[in-house]
Amino acid sequence: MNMEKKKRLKILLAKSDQDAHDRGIRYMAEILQDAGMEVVFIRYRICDQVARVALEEDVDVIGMSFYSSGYSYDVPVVLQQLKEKGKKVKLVLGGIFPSDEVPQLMEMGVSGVFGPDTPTEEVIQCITA
Amino acid sequence: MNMFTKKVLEKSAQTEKEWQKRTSASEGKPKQAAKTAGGIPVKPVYTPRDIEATEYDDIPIPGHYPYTRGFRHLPYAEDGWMMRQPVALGSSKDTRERMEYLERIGWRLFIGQEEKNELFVQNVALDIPSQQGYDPDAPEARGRVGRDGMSLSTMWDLDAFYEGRDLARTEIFYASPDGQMPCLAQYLVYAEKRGVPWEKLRFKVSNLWYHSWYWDAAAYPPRHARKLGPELISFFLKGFPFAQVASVTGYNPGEAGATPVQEVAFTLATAMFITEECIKVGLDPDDFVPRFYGHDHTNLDLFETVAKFRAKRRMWAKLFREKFGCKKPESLRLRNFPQTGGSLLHRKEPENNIIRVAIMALAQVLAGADGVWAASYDECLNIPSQKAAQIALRTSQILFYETNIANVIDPLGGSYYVESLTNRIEAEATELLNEIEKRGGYLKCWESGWFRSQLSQEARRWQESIEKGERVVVGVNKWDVDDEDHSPMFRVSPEVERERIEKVQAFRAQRDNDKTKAALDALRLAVEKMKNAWPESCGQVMPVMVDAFRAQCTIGEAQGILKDVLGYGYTGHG
Repeated sequence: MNMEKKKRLKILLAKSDQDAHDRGIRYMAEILQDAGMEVVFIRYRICDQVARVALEEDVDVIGMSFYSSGYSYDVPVVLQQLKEKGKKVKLVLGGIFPSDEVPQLMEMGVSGVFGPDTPTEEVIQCITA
Repeated sequence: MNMFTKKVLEKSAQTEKEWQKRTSASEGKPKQAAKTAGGIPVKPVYTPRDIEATEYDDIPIPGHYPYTRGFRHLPYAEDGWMMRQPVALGSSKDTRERMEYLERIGWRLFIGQEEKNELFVQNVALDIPSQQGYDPDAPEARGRVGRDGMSLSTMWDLDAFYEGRDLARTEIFYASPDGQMPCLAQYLVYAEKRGVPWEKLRFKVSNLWYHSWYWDAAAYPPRHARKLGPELISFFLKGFPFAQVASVTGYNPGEAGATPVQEVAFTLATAMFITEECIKVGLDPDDFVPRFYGHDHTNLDLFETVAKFRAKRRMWAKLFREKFGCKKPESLRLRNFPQTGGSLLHRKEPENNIIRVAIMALAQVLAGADGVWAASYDECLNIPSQKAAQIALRTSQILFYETNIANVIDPLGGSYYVESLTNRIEAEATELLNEIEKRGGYLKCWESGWFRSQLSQEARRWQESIEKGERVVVGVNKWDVDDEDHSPMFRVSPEVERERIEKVQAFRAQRDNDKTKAALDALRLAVEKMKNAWPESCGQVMPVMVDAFRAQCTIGEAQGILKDVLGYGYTGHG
């Protein structure tokens, strides 16, 4: 049990390869590595790649970044594919989301939605909780 | 020719000493050293001694080499500045409605020229799939159609966008770094259909193929990206007198984290690289450099932004004269259309962004920019609502009409502080340019990721200084009231995506598909030739691409071929 707890958290950071705005996710990649996590960073062409890589890499957490569009399609697909494959992974989101949609995303099964002004400590807390 | 006599400098030294004595007596202990946003140390006061080495010829009257004080012979009040904010959402019809609304309340290409010289501007940001060459029905486009900009795919979209509009009086810009060839080829064919001669068309070509040095969504690796610039430039040099052929952007690197000094050095290095590549295909800098234009970043540090623009103008003039032997004055003047920094806007209390944007727009005007791009305050929440777009336009209009700021050219010229900061940025950027050379030059720094690493280090430093509270962001990390607004926000209806898919499929069904395929095959051949036989094949892709749009191809099909042949293993669809 103790051994389990000490296991290094592994996180997949994923962003569509169409979206240039990578300042946030690259910053988070560094912060999470500094916090002792193992980080895998991918640029995906279609969102089906996200659940696949999550399984292959056996990650504990997925972080997806969106500049603004795309999440409304990608997030339900990723959650559904993870469910189908029986993989329990926490999904957190970062980027620009209309704040009135955040409750909906949380209801869908997302564990946290963060924006450019979120203190990184808050993100780490959500990931490690 | 020094500007101050020995006597003035002596007196300045004397009074500074007295000032120091007085302030240190009253303040007790020294305060933390102040810095600009980019980290340049600043003093509490500046005097002639800070610019004693500056010669009159470094800052002569505006309109004169080396253009530190700008290119203008007349104040803005006489000929205005360009109003460059983008408008784009949903379908071309949605975008057109928004534009026409803004035009009714005064949006024109040049502010202050509404009656005298009525020109319009369409600064169109495309949605992400259109930028990346995915038609609305491509799997990659799901959830993204029309959401972050205008969806553009077929000639029908242009029909809806431009019908009844005077193309010769409208300046066009498509914000789409990798999509310039198909977008502009399609526009040329549309103009042809309307019977408007190409030489009457006005547009800016973004020509940003090299953008992978500052982020990683670029479609083409450096070895091919370097060819696309000269290809497009050579095509538009002849027969398009109102086309500006290449953008030199500091905005995107600035958003990726560049300090003002890095922005100046890295963008100058980029411009020199493009120039060298064009020389290799046989072009004369004096023909194409005058048609470059700048797109700089604007920071909230008002004086540093002003100094940055001034330093860059002076460096540009000297470099293009000395390094490339440019003779035409126009080659030594990079017209600049800066944009207010999006990363400086915040989600919390978003209305505060109206103030931030106004300060940045003011900096652009004080710096003598050729255009003002005031962003919408809600840019960090969603694509602009109509109200926010209106406020952005009003920002420009209030600056021009209500403040008297347009009456005097370069009002900050001669300020001890601004001139000193200008000198400092020039010196540091020159040093950085030398470092790029030492590291093997622009291409090497691009391919090795050195530029990227420099920017991300700065981005990290910036974010950490906010998190630690060293850099105050009002309402965000200081006096935060913690009341995130959950009221309904502006968004483009998901219905747009379904309609757009139907439209592109109907378009493909009505055309002569054999003819389209033959034209696309010819395009593929030309692009392969570009890949394998450069530079002798330069100039062959654009004419064939125009033919493909005559044969009713779509944006996705044309760009798909470019990406397939020159990109990172794109496989295409259908």
